[in-house]
Amino acid sequence: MSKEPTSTSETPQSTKIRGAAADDPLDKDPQLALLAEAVSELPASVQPERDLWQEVVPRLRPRQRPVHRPRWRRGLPRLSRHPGWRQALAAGFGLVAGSALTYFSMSGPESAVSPPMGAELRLASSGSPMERAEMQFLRAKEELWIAVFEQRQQMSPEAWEMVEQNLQILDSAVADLRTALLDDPGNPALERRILTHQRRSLELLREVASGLSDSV
Amino acid sequence: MDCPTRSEDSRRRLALSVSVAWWVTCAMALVPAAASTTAPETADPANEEESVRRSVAASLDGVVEIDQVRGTVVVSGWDRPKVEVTGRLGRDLDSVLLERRGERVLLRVHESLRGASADLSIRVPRGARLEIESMSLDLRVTGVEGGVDSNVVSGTQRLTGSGMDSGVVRLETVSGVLQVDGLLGELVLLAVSGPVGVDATVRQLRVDTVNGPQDLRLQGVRRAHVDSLNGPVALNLLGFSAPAVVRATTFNGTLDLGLGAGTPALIDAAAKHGRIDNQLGGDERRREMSGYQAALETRVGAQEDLEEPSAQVSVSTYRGDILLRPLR
Repeated sequence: MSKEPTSTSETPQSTKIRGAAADDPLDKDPQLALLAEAVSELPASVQPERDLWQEVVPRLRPRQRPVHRPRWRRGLPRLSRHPGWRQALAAGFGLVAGSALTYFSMSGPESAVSPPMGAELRLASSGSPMERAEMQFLRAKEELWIAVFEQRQQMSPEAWEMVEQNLQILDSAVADLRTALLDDPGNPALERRILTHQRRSLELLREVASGLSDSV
Repeated sequence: MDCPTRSEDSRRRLALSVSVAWWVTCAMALVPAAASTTAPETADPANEEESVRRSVAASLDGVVEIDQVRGTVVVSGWDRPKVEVTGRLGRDLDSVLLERRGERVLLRVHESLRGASADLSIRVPRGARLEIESMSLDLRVTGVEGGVDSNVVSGTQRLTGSGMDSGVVRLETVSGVLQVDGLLGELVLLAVSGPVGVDATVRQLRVDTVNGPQDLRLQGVRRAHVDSLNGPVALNLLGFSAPAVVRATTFNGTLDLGLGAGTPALIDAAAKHGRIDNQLGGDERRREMSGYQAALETRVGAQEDLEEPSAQVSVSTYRGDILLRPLR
């Protein structure tokens, strides 16, 4: 395996590295150049857009739970705009039962994708630059995951299933890369790709959160 | 005696007819009501499709942003300073936002996460740059020269490049399919589990997958960097734009390098725990690399004797096998 792949498309990351502090010890170690490159991406990747963050932050505060908006209040405006809303209201009773079943079935602790707690965080809690960078990703990912998970009823079942499946694919890819890293410890290309895929998980969650805030 | 009896029978028949008619009428009245309560989808606006035809003035070399659209989108370039959207929507027209903000035109379908989807054809100025973000989208792009930056989580993204001087094309997906052909200046393809296919004349190429297979058929390439963890890579090089540098690596996946007949190149291959099968021949020399099970270097093509080959091709793998073969 090549340890230092050159890329035709990595100039933006290189620019960020050149912009880093001159006394950064990572910059003096060519073996860690690519890793430092990935770490330098962190602030931009972790911080969501300002608008989104305003939506997400209140949901992340454990003591400031969002005011629950009853489902019937969310549905009413749309029904009232509908020409046959009174007839639809009758049909709505059936839907309420179905929705309640869906709600309770999705409210359980089981989920195909779980927030990155426990082992993952412990794995990333030691002191190497790679592990510190990964820990930052995992913490940000956990926060966004909780925010998205709490609002999942706003998504269609198909959309939620698609999000879960693709997060699983990304988690699986990170697991495969970690396994490869056990075979070839210290391979900076593998380390960089682990961070890249953690970042992509984060971006996927951020995109979902953005879509949810748009639809509220 | 007969007449009253017939009259009584007539009255009975009339009463029966009226009764039947009454119940039939009631049943006819109840069936639609029952249908309306047992078939909630008839009241669901998500299933009501409407056609859309909208347009907005746009800069000839501005940015067209397609955001949060689910469904199918076909984008094609034209010579007018205008973005035009036609097609069908799964929701009412209020859910579509198409507006110009300076040099940018934004197309967005609200509530796509709730299930709203669209089947759209979009005409954009040929020199525009496309920026696309979507969760699930089947995308087709042709005739756009300003570049494309598309990140679609799942779905198929197909693009036909318009020229070597076009802007950078960057397609990203998690589980979707990436397929590119035509002429391109710089192409970046990033996938996780989805397959990647390229059949193009491209100057610079970067491909990265984890588990997805890569099937690449390249001409005129000057720089290419191809990476895969587990997915197999088929890299077919029909010709270079000298001096070319091509690098391909896999960790577990097999690496199949095909070289066009008579294409001069210096090839080095290294497999840490795998094997190398060199069917190219050429001036092969073994290389000693610490910890590697197999490593070789070979010069092939019409310029075998030249010290400066027109292309340097480096292929390496950790656990996979390498096949070097001529293209037929």
